[in-house]
Amino acid sequence: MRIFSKLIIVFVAFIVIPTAFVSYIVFYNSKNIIEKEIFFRLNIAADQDVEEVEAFFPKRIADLRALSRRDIYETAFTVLDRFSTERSNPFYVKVKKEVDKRFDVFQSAYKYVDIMIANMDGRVIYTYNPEHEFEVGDLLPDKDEVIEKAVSGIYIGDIKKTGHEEHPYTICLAGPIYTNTDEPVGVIHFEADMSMMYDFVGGGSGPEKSWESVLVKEAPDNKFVFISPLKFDPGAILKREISMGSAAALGAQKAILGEVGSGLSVDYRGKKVLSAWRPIRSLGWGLVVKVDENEAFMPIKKLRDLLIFIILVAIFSAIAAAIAIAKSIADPIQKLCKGTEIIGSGNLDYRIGIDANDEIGRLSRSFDMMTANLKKTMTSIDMLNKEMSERKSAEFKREKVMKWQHDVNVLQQSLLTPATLKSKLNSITENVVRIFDADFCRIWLIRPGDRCAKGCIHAEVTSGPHICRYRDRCLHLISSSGRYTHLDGKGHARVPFGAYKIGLIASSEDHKFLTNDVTNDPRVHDHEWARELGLVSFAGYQLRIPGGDRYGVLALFAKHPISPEEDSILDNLSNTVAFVVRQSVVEEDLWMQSEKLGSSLKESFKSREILLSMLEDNSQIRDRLEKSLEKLKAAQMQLVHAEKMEAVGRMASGIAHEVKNPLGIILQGINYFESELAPEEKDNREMLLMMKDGVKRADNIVRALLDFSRVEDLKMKECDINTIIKRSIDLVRHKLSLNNVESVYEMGGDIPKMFFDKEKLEQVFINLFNNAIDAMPQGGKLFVRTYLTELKVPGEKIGHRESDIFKLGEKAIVVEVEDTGMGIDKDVADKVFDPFFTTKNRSEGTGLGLSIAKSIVEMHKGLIHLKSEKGKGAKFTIIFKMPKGEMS
Amino acid sequence: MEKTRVMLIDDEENFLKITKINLERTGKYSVDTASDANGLIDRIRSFKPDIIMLDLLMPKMSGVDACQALKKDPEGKKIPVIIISALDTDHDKLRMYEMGVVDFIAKPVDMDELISKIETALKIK
Repeated sequence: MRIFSKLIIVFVAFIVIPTAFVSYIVFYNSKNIIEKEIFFRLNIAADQDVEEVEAFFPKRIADLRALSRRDIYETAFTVLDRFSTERSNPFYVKVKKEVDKRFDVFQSAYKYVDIMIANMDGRVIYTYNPEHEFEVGDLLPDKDEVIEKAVSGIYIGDIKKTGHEEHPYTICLAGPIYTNTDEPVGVIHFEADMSMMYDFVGGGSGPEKSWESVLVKEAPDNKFVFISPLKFDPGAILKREISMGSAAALGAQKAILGEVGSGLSVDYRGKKVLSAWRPIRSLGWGLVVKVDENEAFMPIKKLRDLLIFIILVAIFSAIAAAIAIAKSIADPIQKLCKGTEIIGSGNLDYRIGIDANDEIGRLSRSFDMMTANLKKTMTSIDMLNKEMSERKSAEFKREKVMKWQHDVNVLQQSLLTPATLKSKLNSITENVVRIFDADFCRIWLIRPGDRCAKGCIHAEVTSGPHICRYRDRCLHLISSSGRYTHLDGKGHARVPFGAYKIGLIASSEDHKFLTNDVTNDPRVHDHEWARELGLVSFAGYQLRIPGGDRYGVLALFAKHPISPEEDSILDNLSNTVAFVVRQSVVEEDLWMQSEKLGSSLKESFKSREILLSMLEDNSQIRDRLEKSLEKLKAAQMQLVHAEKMEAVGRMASGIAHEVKNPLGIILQGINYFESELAPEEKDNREMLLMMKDGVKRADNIVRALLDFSRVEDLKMKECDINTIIKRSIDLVRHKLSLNNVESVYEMGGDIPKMFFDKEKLEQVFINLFNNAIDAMPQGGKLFVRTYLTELKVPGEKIGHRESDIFKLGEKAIVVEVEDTGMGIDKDVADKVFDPFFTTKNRSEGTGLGLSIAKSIVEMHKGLIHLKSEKGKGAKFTIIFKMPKGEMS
Repeated sequence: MEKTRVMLIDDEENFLKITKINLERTGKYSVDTASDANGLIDRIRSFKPDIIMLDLLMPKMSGVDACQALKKDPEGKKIPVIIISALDTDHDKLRMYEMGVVDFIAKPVDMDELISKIETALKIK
């Protein structure tokens, strides 16, 4: 460790250690005081909350008892029960108003979500709040348990989630209604909002943001569940269950086990908290009041931060003082060390130069004198080395020139072997780049001016030194190697004869051009470009046969100066290139002609491809037209159907009025003769009965016709398909037991609510159930299933076509009604949905039931199918579309 | 025992005749009939019916108009009305209840059903 560092550590330690010790004592004492104060507040809040929760239910039960023995029920209950199916009846309306008034008193004292009255069958005959979930006629949820417990005392249900924003959590209580003779005739059912209780529980909250009171209840399988809203997990209420003995919510576990206490613990998030826990023995619940340890100890953290700040200030002050003292001691020693290192690394001009008169100053001066002597010796050694290096360099250069000449000889040899002119020229430029380390090398040949009319950029120059004056010829770039290898650059593919560097070299009397200063030489025009690329030299040579024709130019750029030796070798090489070009000119002309032939063939292939793609476009247009036509046809069919239905409706109303009046007269006539007959005239009585049946059949047909014409008129409301089916089953239950038919339900629990006309769908299901019962005269089983599915098998109106109502892969709600009855033939099964088709006796069926059912299902954008075989029962399948929000 | 006075209004003459016979044969009812609702208020002043049975679709004055006329009359509004109609639709039942109608019966009318409805309506009154 350096002297400077050691001195600083000693000084800092003397100041920092005492400061840190005092700070720790202050911190520890403060923490103890705050902890005691928080536990005191938690215990007080927990005791208050337990008291509030235990008082909540006795108040509600007192309300129920007060309502259960009112004289009003003696009369009101009877009227409500009698007219509950006809709520607009004036008697019902009048009695409901009176009962509403009685309940207003309780409602103003405590806002119940709903107060309902139900009869002993569990069917609701009165609701206080018409906006709420249940309507008159619905069955109470868990009706058997509610009635059994309510009649024998008081029923208290579980807390449940409602989905309403105003009262998200409720609890149901029910008590009996007695007549004057203490006979139970029904129940009063309260649905109480839990918000008030949750407000009590949260009432004693502290100033801390994380302060929270939590209610828990034991759940099956040695678990417990949260029954109040959680501040940090709003979705957990009634859902999140935690096992007893797990590492989370330790306070809640102790409260469930009946323990009373407080301490450091872990909450439902797994966070450390300070908490107090209490059991609520009368309800079997537990309560925990808690606050996060982090937040509770926030003042302590602030104190800790202050103390850390003080210690840091002390450390920085100590370091500043220590640096000043240590610097005066350590600086001269460091300077001496540094000087010896620099001289040791070879810098003999360096002097340490400490002027002090102490031991270190003397040492420094001796060292400087020694270094001066050493430098003199080193200078003579350097001169010897320089001479040796010059000799080596001359030798190296000679070897290099020999190598260039040798490589060029090899290249010239290789040009004698037969090959195309282009490949020979490519080989020349590539070898020039390699042998002379050129940046790039190019060869242009003098050829006819082929691009003047097609927009050669040089042909458009009309002023300045670079005007193209020879339209019959220009220089064509044939080969390029090194940095640039492309031949189609705008300015370089063609260069005018007699203009620019290359054109001037080609036309000049002087057959070559050389500069080793391209960034400044005025003959090279683009200095900036050359500077950017780091180019140094340029050389260009006419390709000429001495005393004969010129064929073009060979030129190169390099990043090093071109020596006279290189220039001479390149000059010779350009003569060789001229010979190679002359030899190949005729062959190249031939090759150009064959190229032209090839390109015209390509053009004809291209035209053929365009023709094919046009044909393909035509077929796509035809497909689109066919699809539009299909849509148009479907729309027309719908229009025709709607008009037909309207006409049937008008006709049916007319027939109903005109036919029912004479039927009324006939029936009255039959009634007259019935009362005229003596008891012994059995034959005549039977005759009259047959006539009466005939009248009823005619009336049924007229009614069914009216129903058939009215299916267009749907009253849609959001409801649950399972509830509609259960209600329909209730309505045929008597017929089921009479015919010894057992019903089996498999209802899907995950089916979302949808918009249906409840009454029309009940009509559909009752029709299907009645048909099933009629098909099982000897008894049997009726299966009713509902489930969600993804449609995978194509069928009638299920597939990928535009006209299909359901697409394959789509999610759908399915209802199946299956019986174990006699079944029907396949050809008959196809007709069951036709109007006036029936397999029943004419006196039993109108033949319109299933066609009405089909119309109703189709109005709901659904499908109905029948699958049946003689002797193997029948299965009706109804498919409904999923609501749009549930599709994913 | 005093007989119940029933007023029966329908545009079907034969229906009126036979229903009157059938009701009066029971010995419990005295029946007055009319083929339209014109002059209804005068008729109830003289006949003082306990109950009125009214057809909905009638020429001259419809059943609905007749109900409205009854509702305006201090005596007429106290008399329960049962509607007899060929079209047993529920499209305006609510409106009819507001006008003093207590029940509905659809044609063709069976005597047992008719008598049961009359008796229930009179009990509730």
